[in-house]
Amino acid sequence: MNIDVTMPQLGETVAEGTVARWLKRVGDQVADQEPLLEIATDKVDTEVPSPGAGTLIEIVIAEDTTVSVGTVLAVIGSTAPAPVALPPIPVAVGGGGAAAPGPAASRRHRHVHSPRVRRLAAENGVALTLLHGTGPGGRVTPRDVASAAAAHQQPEPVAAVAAPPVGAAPAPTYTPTAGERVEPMSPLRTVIADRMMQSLHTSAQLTTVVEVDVTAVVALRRVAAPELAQRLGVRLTLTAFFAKAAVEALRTLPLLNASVGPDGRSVIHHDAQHLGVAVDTERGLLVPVVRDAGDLSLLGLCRRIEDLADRTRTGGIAPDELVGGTFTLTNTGSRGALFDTPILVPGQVGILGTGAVVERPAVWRQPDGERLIAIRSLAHFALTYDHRLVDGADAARFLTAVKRRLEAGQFQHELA
Amino acid sequence: MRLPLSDHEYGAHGVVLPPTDQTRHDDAPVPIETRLGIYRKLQEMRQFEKRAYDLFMRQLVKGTSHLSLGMEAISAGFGAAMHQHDLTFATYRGHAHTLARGVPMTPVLAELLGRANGLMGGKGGSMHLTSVEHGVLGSYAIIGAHLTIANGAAWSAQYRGSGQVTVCFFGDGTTNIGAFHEALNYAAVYKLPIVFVCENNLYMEYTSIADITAVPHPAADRAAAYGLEPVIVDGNDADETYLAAASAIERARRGDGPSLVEALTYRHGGHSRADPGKYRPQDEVEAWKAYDPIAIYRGRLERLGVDRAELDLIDKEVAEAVDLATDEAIAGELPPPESAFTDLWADGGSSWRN
Amino acid sequence: MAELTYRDAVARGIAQEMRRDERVVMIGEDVAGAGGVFKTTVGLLDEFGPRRVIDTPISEQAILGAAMGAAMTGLRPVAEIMFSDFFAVCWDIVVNEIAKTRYMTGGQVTIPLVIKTGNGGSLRFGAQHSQAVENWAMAVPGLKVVTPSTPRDVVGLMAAAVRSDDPVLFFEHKGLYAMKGEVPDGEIVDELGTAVVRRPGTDATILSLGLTVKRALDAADQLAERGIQAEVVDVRSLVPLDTRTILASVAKTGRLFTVEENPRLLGWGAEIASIAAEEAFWDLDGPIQRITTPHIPLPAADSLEDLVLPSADVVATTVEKALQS
Repeated sequence: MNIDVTMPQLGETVAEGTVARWLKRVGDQVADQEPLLEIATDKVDTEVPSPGAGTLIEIVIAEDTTVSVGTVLAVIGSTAPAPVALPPIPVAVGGGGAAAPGPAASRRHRHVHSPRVRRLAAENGVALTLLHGTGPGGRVTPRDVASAAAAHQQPEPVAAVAAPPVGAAPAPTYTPTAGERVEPMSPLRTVIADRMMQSLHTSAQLTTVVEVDVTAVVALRRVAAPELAQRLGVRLTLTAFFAKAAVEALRTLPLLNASVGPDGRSVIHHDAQHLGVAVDTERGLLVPVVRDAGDLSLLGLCRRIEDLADRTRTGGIAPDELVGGTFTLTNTGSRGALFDTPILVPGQVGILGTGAVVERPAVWRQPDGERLIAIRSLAHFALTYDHRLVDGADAARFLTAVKRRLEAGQFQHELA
Repeated sequence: MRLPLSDHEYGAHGVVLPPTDQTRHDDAPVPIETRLGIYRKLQEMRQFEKRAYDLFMRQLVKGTSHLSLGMEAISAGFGAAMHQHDLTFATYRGHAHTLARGVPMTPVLAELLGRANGLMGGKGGSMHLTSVEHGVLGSYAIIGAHLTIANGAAWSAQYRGSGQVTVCFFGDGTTNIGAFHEALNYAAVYKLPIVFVCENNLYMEYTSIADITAVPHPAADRAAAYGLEPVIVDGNDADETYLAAASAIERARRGDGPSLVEALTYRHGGHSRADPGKYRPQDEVEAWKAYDPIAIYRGRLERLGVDRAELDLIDKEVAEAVDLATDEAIAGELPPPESAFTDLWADGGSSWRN
Repeated sequence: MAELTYRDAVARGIAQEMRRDERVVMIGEDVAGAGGVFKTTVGLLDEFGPRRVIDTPISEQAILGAAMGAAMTGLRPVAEIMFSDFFAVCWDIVVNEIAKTRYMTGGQVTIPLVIKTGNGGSLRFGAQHSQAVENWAMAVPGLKVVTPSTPRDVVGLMAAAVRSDDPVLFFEHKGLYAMKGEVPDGEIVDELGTAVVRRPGTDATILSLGLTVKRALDAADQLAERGIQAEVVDVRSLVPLDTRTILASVAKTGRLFTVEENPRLLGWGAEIASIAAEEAFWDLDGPIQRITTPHIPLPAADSLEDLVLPSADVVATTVEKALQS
C-alpha cells in the first residue's frame, strides 16, 4: 500500500509552503516518523516526518518549489503488511472484533487523527502536523494537544520542534535569610504565573467598567430558584444570567469572541462561543470551559457551569475541559470586590468581570417615565479587552448590550 | 389420515343451523324494564356497527375493524347482568362489548376514526377499546392473551375483597390456543371470580371451527378438563344469555369460582372489513340471518304487549344518537402530534434516557 | 451492615417492599413452598403467608397475564419467570400486552409490576437455560429493564422496581446468586435509570452489566498493572439508560468498550455504541469496541462456555491492544 506525503498545514493562516531540501533520495528506506524533507514558509521552517515506514519511491515536488497545502510531495511504498495477513483474532474476543484491527492499523500509518484530537486541535489552534505524537506509532494523543495548548506553542508552532536555545541564562535562585522560607510553587501555580505573565506581555490590555442595575434578575431569581430547584434540581445562580447575557452579546459582537493570530497580523474568528468560567479552587484559579455556550439556554448554561465548577473544585475535571475558551467570565465580586481589572486568558481578546451585587439608593426611572430614588441592586461589570483588536467603542457596545439585557430582565421564557 | 379439506371442498362443510323457535324464553323471569334496556342496547350495537360499516365504505375508518353484527345478544345479555363495578375484558371484535357497559358512542366512533376525541385519543383504534371508568379494562387483539390478564383482574378483586366479577369474552378460535388452557386451569385452581364467555360464531376467521377442532363444542367440551360444567347457550337470544350471565356471575360473586359459557351465534358479515365471508354455505347464512337477535327480541317484546310505538321510539332515539355520534366523531380534531409521544410511561412521557 | 448473598438479597428486597405495602404480592413457579428453585424467595411464604406468596402452575403466560391484570386493578405484583429463556413462551404477554396497554389506552391504565427472572450463563446449563436476554426487552418500548450486579443493588433496585409505576423486567444474574456482598441495614431504595462508576479511570471507559461487571473490574486491575487506568461503569439499567453518566465517562477517557454477555448481534452495547458514535464522536480517540459472546447459542461444556463468554483476560487484552494501536 502506497502512502502519499503531502504539504502539511503549518498554521491556521498558512496556505502554501516551499520544499527547501529533501533529506532522502528515491529508493531510500524510511522509518515511520523519520524526517523526510525540510519545508519553508513565510513564517516557519521545519522538517516533515515520514507518515509511515517504507521505501521512498517517488519525489513529486522538487526542491525550491512552492506548492499549496495538501499537494502530494512524494510517495512512499509501505512495508506494512496487508490487512489480510493479520493474525486471526481468537473467537473469544467476539466475532466483530476481528474486523477492527485491519483498517485501524492502516489508518495509523496514514496519520489520521482521532476525532477527539481533531476537535481539541481546532479548538486550541494547534497545528497537528507539527506535533510529535507520544502515542503508539507516533500517534498524536489528546494529551499531546492539551500540553501543546497549555504551553501555548501554537502562536509559534516551530517551538514545538525546536531545541531550547543554547546558552540560555539559568533561572535565578534566591537564598533565604533568617525568618524567610522558600518553597517551590505548585505546578498549577507555575502554570498560572506563566500564563498571566504571557498574557500581559503579549497583548495590549485595558479595562472599561459600567454599572448595571440587576434588580430585575435578582428578583426573578428569587422567585424562580426554589421552584426550579424542586422541579429540575437546578440551582439557579446570578452567574448564569450574566453568562447568558454575555454569550448573547458575543453573538452580536463576534469581535470580542475572536483571537489575534500568532503572527499578530491576523484575526481568527471562532464560530462558536466557548465560555471560560473562572473557578476559585483550593489549588488556585482554574478556568473550565462551557463549550458551545451560545447554543445553551439559561438553564442549560446554569447546569453546565455548576457541573464544571463542582468538578473543577473536586478535581473531577478533565484537562480537555480547561482549554479551548474563546471568552471568559470571572465573578470578581464573589468576595465583595466592587470591580477588578481581570487579565485576559492568552489567546482571547475579552474577559468580563462581574463585581459584587450591592443594594444602593439609585435614581430609577419607572416604566411611566417617573423618576424615583429607589433601593436597587447594582453591580459593576468590568471588561478587559485586547486593544490590538478591540477598540473602546467595541468594548462599550459589548458592555451596553450586556447591561441592557440584564436590566430588561426578560428571562421568563427561559425559565418556563 | 384426515385432513380438514380431504373430505369436502372449502366452504362445503357441514351446515350448523340455528334454533327455529323464537318464543322459548317469552316466559323467562326477566323484568320488563331489564328487557327494554336490553332492547335499547341491541339497537345501539346494531345501528352503531352499521354506521361504522358505512364509514368504512366512505374511507373514514382506516385500518381494520371487526364487526359483531348478528352477535349482539351476547354482549347485551351479559352487559345487563353485570354490576356497574364489574370488569369486562373484550376482544378485538369489541364494539358491542364496550357499548354494553355504557360507554358513549361518540368516543368509540371517534376512536375508529382516529380522532382526538376518541376513547383513547386515537392511540388504540378499533381493536383496543378501553374505558376504565366503565369497567372495560381493554379489548385485546392477540388471541387468548387476555384470558390470562382477566384472571389477574379477578385475582386482584379476590385479594382486595372488592366483590367485583370479571367477564372475559373470546371467540371459538381461541379455544385452540395455549393461553386459553393455561388461563382456565389457573382460574379453576385459584377459584377466581371470573366468567369466560366463548362467542362461538362457528368460524375461526375464514375456516369452519369444526374442521380444525377435535371436539364438537370447542369451549364446552373442554370444560371438564378444568373441573367446570359444560354450559352451552343460545347466543342469539338475549334472555338466554342474560340468564346464563346472571347465574355465572352470581356463582363467581359467591366465591364458587369460574364458569365457562359457550354461546352459539353467527356473524352476519365476514371476519373483518375485507372479508365477504364467501366460505360459508348460503343456506346457513340465510338461516342465521333469519334468526336475528334483534328481530327475536322485538318479536318477544311485542308478544309481551309492549307498544310498537314505544319500540319505534327507542329505535328512533338510538338512530338520532348514532347520527349525533357520527357528527361529533367526524368533527373531532386529529390527535395533536405530540400525543404520539405521551403515555408510554406512568410519568406521561416516552423518554428512555436521561 | 450484613454480608448477604445475591440470592438472599433478592428475598430481602422483596420482603422489604411486602412489609411496606400490602399491595405487593409474589407469584411464580415454586416461589412459595420451595422458596424458589434458585432460593431467591426463601422466607417470604413464612412471613407473608399463602395469600401473598403464591405457587403457580408451569404456565408462563398465565403467570404474567395474572400479574398484568392484577397490576391494572390496584396490586403491585412481583412475578417470577424462572429462567429468562422462558420469556420466549410468554413474550406475547410482555411485549404485546404489558408494554403497550398503557400507551394504547391513552394512559387509562397503569401497570406497576415487576417480572424477576434468572438470566445469563456461566452455570453450564446449556443453550436453553443460559441466555442473557435483557437486550430483547430493551428493544421493546414500554418496558423498564434493570440488571443488578451486587447484593446491595439487588435490594435497592428491587425496591425501586416495585415502587415504579411502570412495568420493570428485573434480570437477576444466575451466575451471581452465590456472590456475597455487604448490604447496609435498614431500608434501601435505589433509583432506576442510573449507572454507577465502579472504578474511576482516565484512559478507557469499559461498560459492563450483570455478570460482566466483575469481569470488567478484574480486567481493569490487570490493565492498571500495565499502566492503563480503565474506568468501569456498571450500566445497571438499560431502560431508562443513563446516557449522561456513560457519555461523561467517554468524554473523560476518549475510548469506549462494552462488555456484553448477549450474543453479538444487537447486544445492549450496540445501541450504546451507536449513541456514543452520534453524540460523543468528537470525544472519541479511537474506535468503539464491543466485547461480546460470539453469535452462537451457549454451549453446555464448561470449557466451551468459558471460552465464549467474555472473560477478564479477553477484556484486558482487547482494551490494551486497542489503546496501543
